[in-house]
Amino acid sequence: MSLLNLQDVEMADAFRADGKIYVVVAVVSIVVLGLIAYLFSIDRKVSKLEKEIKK
Amino acid sequence: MAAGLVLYTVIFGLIGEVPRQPILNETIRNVYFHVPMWFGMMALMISSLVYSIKYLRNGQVQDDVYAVEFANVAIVFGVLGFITGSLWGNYTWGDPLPKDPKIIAVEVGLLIYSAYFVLRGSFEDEQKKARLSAVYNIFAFASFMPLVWILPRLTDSLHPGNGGNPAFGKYDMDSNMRLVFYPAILAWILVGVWISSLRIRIKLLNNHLQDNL
Repeated sequence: MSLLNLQDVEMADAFRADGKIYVVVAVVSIVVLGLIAYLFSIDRKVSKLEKEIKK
Repeated sequence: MAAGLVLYTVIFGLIGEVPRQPILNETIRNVYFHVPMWFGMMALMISSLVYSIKYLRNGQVQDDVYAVEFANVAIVFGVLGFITGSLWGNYTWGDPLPKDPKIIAVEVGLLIYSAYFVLRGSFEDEQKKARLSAVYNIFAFASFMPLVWILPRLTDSLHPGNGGNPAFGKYDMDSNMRLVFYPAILAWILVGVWISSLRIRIKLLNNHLQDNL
C-alpha cells in the first residue's frame, strides 16, 4: 500500500483534473451536438418540402 | 434574442465567478446547461398541454400540430438533460445512473411521453389520432409532473431541492450565479420554442401542400 502511495499512479483521470472543468466542456458539447443533430433532421424535412414544391 | 442569451450564458457561464465547493468544483457551471434543459422541457410540455386542450375544445388541426411539435422538442430537451446529467453524475456522484428517485421518475416520464408518439403512429385516421393523442397528452402531463416534482421530495434524493428541502434558496447559488442562471433558463426555453416553431411551420406547410395536391 505504501509503495502504491509513493508512485504517482497514472490513470485516465483527465476529466477529474483542473477542477473538473472538462466535465462542463463535455456537457456543453453534448447540448450543442444534440441540438445541431436535431437541426439537421429539421433541415432534411425542409429539403424534402422544397423538392415537393418544385415538382 | 434567444441566440444572444445563449451566447451570454455560454460566455459568462464559463468565465463568471462561481462559489468554490468540494466535489462539485467547476462542474457547478453545469447548472447553466443541464438544469435549463429541464426547464425548457417543462415549458415545452406545458405549451404542448395547452394546445392539446385547445384542440379538444375546437378540433382545429393546427392546434394538434402545435401540440405534437412542442412535445417532440420537449423530448429532445429531456434526452439532452438526461445525457448531460448522467455525465455530470458520473464525475460528482461517482455513478452515471445512481438509484435516485428523480432520475428514475424522469426515466419513467420520458417513456410515458415516448408512448405518446407510439400511440400517434398506430392510428390511420387523422382525426381519431389527433383526438386520442390529445387526451393521452393530458394524461402524460398529469402523471409526469407529480413524478418529477413531488415524488422525489417524499424520499431522499441526490438532487438539490429534494428530500424535504424546498427548491431554490438551497441551491448553493450566490448572486453572481443567479445573474447567469436566470437568463440561461430563459435562453434555453426560447431556443426550444424557436426550434418548435420551425417544426410547426414545416408541418403546416406540408399539410398545406398535401391539401392542394
